[in-house]
Amino acid sequence: MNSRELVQFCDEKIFSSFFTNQIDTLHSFIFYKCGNNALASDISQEAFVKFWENCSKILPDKAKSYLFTIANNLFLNNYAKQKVRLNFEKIPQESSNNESPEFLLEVDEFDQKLQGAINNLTEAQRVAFLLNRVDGKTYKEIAVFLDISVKAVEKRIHKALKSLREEIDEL
Amino acid sequence: MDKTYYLAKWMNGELSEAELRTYVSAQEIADYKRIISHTNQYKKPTINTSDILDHVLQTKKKSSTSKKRSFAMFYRIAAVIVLSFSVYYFGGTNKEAFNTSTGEKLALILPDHSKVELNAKSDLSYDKKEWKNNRSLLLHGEAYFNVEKGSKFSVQTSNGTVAVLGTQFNVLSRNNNFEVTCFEGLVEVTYQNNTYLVAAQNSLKLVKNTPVLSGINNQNLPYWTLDKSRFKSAPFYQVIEAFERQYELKVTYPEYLKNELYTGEFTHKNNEQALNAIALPFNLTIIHKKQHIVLSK
Repeated sequence: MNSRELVQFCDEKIFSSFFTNQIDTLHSFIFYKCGNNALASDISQEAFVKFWENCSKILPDKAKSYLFTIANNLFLNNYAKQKVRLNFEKIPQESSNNESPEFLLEVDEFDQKLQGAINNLTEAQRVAFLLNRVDGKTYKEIAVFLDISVKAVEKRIHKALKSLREEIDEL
Repeated sequence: MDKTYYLAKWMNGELSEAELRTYVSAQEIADYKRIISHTNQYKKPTINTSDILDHVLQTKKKSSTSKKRSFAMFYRIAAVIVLSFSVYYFGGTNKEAFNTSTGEKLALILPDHSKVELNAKSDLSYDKKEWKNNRSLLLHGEAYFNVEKGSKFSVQTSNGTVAVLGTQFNVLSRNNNFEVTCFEGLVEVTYQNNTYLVAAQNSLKLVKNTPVLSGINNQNLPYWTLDKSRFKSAPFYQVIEAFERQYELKVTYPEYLKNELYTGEFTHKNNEQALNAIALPFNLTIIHKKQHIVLSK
């Protein structure tokens, strides 16, 4: 490989723009694994420090999956054993006043069940499913991050939906 | 179509509800919809981006060796754009392929440092292994090349072959539309077994299937790399096709306009302005229908 092609990420402007484009997704990615916002911020930061230190060795078309691999390794080395407890805040919905308290209670209950079920998904399924639903990433984008095929992403999302429904049904 | 992961396909809009109904019951579909609508309300976790960036940048002093590069802008575009595209590797064959869809542009660097910019809806591929011996590319669509000096560099298209030693040129090859513009150096174009030489600041264009040479006026780059399309006496349908390649919109227009000649330009950044630039000279009215545009008198 030639050097001119490789130094791109050592340019502060290019690095910063790459950082700005990726930080949200990387943070979400770790958050969906561990369910801890502060920890996800720490790991994202550490991953970018490693990326920045190694900027001269990074191939442009592997940059994303490289970044996500660093973050994943940091996560695995340090924190993987902890139990996941995700807790989502909801975007406030425009609620009409004529919804009965019973209805609102039921919505709330469903939500608790759903969040419980999401916590019980396998890590791989949860990450793929939430990156798609909450972060709005396409299957193709997720495939690039995780360095797997689009088909593998589809499989994870399919299984995630299926087990979410089954688990909610049981309760 | 592979139907194993029908839920993922359905959620992604690749499978209709009616099709999904052949796999699961109506009750199940209702359950899935409920799950999806709830997850859609979840907020992304919040993060303090600028603090983290500052911290990361402080960890390493910028290497003092990085010189100012004249192609800084190119690299910037290349880094941002190349990354946002997937590169398709074809297992085993060493074939490297790139493609762009509607409204996308791509900048890339070939193994010999030659630079390529790819316009919307174009495919470009080459053999990585063979590249050292044979600098040859396959192109469908439109691309601008800035070639490093070296052995013969050739671009093959369905309309003909363009060969050079080291220069800057633009190739457009779509259906029967073929146009080669040379900005620097000398380009050799082979079309239907005839060879044409195109000198700097000249352009070879098919007019009714006959190649015609004409000059360009002190232009250094193709207009599309500056985010606009420019036409000089081009048939109206080609203008509309170019528009549709830049915007996610379909355009219909009266049949008799098809071969009317258009001279002018439109921007790739704003579809309203672009439409006006196309419609005004013909005194056409623009009607919007979602992803569909109707032009009429």
